[in-house]
Amino acid sequence: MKKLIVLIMSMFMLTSLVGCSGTDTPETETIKLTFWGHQNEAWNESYRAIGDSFMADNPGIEITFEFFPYDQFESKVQTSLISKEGGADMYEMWGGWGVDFASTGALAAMPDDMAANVIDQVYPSTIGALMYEGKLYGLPLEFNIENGAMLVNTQILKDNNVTVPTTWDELVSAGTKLTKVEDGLMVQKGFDFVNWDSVPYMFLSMILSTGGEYMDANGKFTLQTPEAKAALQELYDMVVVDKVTDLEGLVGGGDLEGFQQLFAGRNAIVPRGPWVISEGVVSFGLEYGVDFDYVAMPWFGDKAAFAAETGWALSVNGNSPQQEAAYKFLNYFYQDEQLLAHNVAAAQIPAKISVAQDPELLTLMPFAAPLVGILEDAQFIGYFNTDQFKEAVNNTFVDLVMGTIPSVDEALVSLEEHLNTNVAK
Amino acid sequence: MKNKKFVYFVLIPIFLHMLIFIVGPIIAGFAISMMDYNPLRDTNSFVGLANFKQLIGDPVLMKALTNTLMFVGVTVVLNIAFSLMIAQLVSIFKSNKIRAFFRMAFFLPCVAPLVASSVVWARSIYPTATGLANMMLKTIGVNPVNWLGDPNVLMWSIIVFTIWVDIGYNIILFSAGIDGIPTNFYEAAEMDGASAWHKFRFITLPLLGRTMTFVIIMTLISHFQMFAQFSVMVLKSGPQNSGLVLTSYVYKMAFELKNMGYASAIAVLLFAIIFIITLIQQKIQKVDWDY
Repeated sequence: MKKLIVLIMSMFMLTSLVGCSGTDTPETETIKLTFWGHQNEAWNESYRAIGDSFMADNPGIEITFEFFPYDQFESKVQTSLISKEGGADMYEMWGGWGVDFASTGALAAMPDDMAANVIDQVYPSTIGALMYEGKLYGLPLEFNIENGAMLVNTQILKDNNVTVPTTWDELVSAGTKLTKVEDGLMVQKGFDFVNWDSVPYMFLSMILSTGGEYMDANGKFTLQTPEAKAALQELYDMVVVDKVTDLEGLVGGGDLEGFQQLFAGRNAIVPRGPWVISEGVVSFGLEYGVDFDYVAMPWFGDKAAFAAETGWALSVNGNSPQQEAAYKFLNYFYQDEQLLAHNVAAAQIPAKISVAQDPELLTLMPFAAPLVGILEDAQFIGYFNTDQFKEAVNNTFVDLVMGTIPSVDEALVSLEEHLNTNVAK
Repeated sequence: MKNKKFVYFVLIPIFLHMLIFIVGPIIAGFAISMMDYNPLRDTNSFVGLANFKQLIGDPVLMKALTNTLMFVGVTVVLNIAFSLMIAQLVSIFKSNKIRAFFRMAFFLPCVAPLVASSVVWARSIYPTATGLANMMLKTIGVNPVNWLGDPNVLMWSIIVFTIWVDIGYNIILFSAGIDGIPTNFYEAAEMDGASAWHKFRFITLPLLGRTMTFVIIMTLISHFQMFAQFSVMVLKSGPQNSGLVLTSYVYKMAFELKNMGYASAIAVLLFAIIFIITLIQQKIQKVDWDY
């Protein structure tokens, strides 16, 4: 019996040793990549479609797409980059996060030859936050633009015999006329520019379009200028004097955001980026061009000028063992055909110049017309945390309108000091 | 001896769990609070008490601290007062079914996820133009209130919501405590001609001592740590930081500004506040555990 057991054990050992040895026919190893993005039906479908097309051309690479609710996405990305062993190989990356992630080694730099092409072929503001010490840490997908165009509720304008304003004075005048107050409550806002993005972007655009600057060559904020004073004064007057809107978009108390209230028939004109249009069509069941329109916003000054931050991009995890394969996918994504399809599906203004200037873009995305023409007028907002910047500007604006800060001059002094202490790099 | 060994053996898993998931993170939090810590960096420097020194000169922290103390002070007092009053009223009913019905009705808000309840109140009850609260005020000729956008009103709006959502749990606890008081005390008091108030003041209240201690401690601790309603109902930090509390400031520092060292220092401060208040409260409220 003992001999039998020894024989069986010996056979087991031999079998396992054979299993460990090299085989005669080597297996092809499939490279597996994971991609993380935030949940958005149209965007997610587009990523998967491009992924499927890439995988068909590259059978040795398999990509798994995972999408997370937007409000959890940033912390999910951050936590996974920290863990160094977990997380994804590729991330949908908001440009503003690049400022924090790129400098820590959490992201993989783009190969130099690919980076050189990208830098040459995209609008500068789309890569500003993704550049660090001469290296590029993300592939820009979109030109993030919260300036230059505005939603218009065509029915409200028609009911009040107001035409779409084409100058700044017409805009303010229309805003005043289209605002309705009942029992001390603003039930309809004529020009609701008060929201987290529009106030700071309008502020900067108003400075630039009147020939001013908001930063010096050393990256310090310089706001005690006539242009900055005029800009902030105008924003203040629009709320307090002209009463085109109130502070609800920054202090809270509304059931919907300003652009959603426009879609619900409660606001007349709202400046926002083009990403809101799909919500009007899909969530509110409205018809673009009939129920609402997206038109060029007049410039405050004589010059067409605005600042833009870096928008959505694709980045590779600095700790991914498959960086080469990941960048192969990004390179595939970067082709005009894929980018155009994705930008249209996601209702994004393209970061790549050739795609933005492709006539087919306007055929597929007619609402992009007021924006495509002004992309050349943009400058990169600056290499700093834009969330902190917006918070500072918005808090100062609220304090000014509420009277906590007594004058525009004092507001600018306080804002400049805060930005240079806490925000400027 | 064997029994003791068995007891220790059975308790090992729970102690290990506490060590790994409660004690460990607390110690790690203390350690991080003394570092300039960005989790994305490979190396983070030790800064000693620099983060704590920064606490002293931070006006936003002072605002968050003031808001937190106001929120906790008002909400806990009102919560306990209302829940005790309601529990007492419910106990008047002789029918068990009726008592059970009311306890269930008051407990329902506790069952719903706090985030979901916060969303409902923020989107349906409190909105200035379209909310139910202002619609009701309009019917009685009162001007609309900016419940979540007025810095003087915001915290009170959150307090009202928090009392509504949290009161049920304490009602159940107080009801159980009241039911546990022997009835012969009340019978004796009635024979002596005591009024309802006298019975409540001299019998119910003292004999609810251990329940009251538990309710106060648990309510205090939970209210200091409340975060969901501030995250959902307050836009950013509210106008002029009127909706900012310590927990939301910790979140902002850690996850929005990536300054985890300072965030941990704030968390240590919160820990210290809860700890000291709990100690003081326990000292003041020494309970006679027997009837």
